Amino acid sequence: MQEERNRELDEVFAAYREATPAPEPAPDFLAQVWRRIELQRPAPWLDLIRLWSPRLAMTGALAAAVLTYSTSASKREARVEAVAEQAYVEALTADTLDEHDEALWTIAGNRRR
Amino acid sequence: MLVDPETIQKAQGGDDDAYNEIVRLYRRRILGTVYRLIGRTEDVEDVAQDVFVRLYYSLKQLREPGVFEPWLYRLATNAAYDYLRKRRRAASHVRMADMSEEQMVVADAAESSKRDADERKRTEVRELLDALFGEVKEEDRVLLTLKEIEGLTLKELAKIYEVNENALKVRLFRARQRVLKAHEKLKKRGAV
Repeated sequence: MQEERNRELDEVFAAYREATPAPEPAPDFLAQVWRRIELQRPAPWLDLIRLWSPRLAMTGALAAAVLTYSTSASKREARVEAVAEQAYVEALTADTLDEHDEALWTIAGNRRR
Repeated sequence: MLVDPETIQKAQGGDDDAYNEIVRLYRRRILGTVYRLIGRTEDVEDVAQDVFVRLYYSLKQLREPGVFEPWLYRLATNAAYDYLRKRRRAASHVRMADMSEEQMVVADAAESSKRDADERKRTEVRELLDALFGEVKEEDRVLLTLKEIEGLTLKELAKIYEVNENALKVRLFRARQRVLKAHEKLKKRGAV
C-alpha cells in the first residue's frame, strides 16, 4: 500500500519534471544581471571610508592617549615644582588640609584673606 | 560540474569574462530551478537574475571551487525563499479559489481552446503538483523540489542545507509523508 502510494508520487514528480522545462533566458539576461550588479555596487567614496576608517580610528585613539599622557605629566610636573618652592610645613599643610575647612586653616595659622 | 575550477577562481579574482562564462553556463539551469521553486513564469527571470547578482557579491566567500554547484543552488533556494516570503506578504494575487465558478469556466474554456491535448496534460500535472505543494509547508516544497524534481543528491543537499545526511533523510521522509497525505486527501476529494 505504502509502496504503491510512493510509486504514484514518484510518477507525479517525474511527470512534473517533464512538464516544466527550463524557460529560455531573455536575450538581454546577462546585460540585466550586470545592470543590477552596478546598481548594487557601493559608491567609491564608501569604499574609501571603509578602507580608511580603521586607520583613522587607530590614529585618533593614539592621539587621545598621547594627549592624556602629556596633560597628566605636565600636571604632575607643576605639582612637584610647587612643592619644591614651598617650605616643608606649608607644602604639607596645602597638600593635606581641605582649603574649604575654615577651622583647620585657622589651626595651621595660615588663614586665608 | 558545468564549469571548471579555474574559471571559478578567475571570477573570484575579479575577472568579469570568467563571471560571464559562469552565468552563460548556468543561467538555463537556474531558470529551471527557480521556475520549479516559485512556480510562476512571470517572475522567473527576475529571481534568476537576483541569484546571479548574489553570486557576484558572494563568490569571494567560496573557499572550495569543488562545491560551487551546491553553493549556487543554495543562493537560488534563498532567492526563491525571499521571493515567496515577499509574495506571501503582498498576497495581492488572484487565486483560482477566489474566482467565481463562472469566471473559472470562462478561463478554462479560453485556455483549453488554445492548447492541444499534450499541453493540457502538462498543465494538469503542474496543477496537481501545485495543489499538493499547496497543502504542505514552503520548506517541504523547496526540499522536495530540489531532491525529487531537480534530482540533487543527498550529499549535495547536505551541503546546501548545512546538515548531515541522516538529518536530511529524516526531513525528506517527513516532507514526503506530508505530501503523500495531501495526495490522499486530494484523491478522496476526487481532485486527482
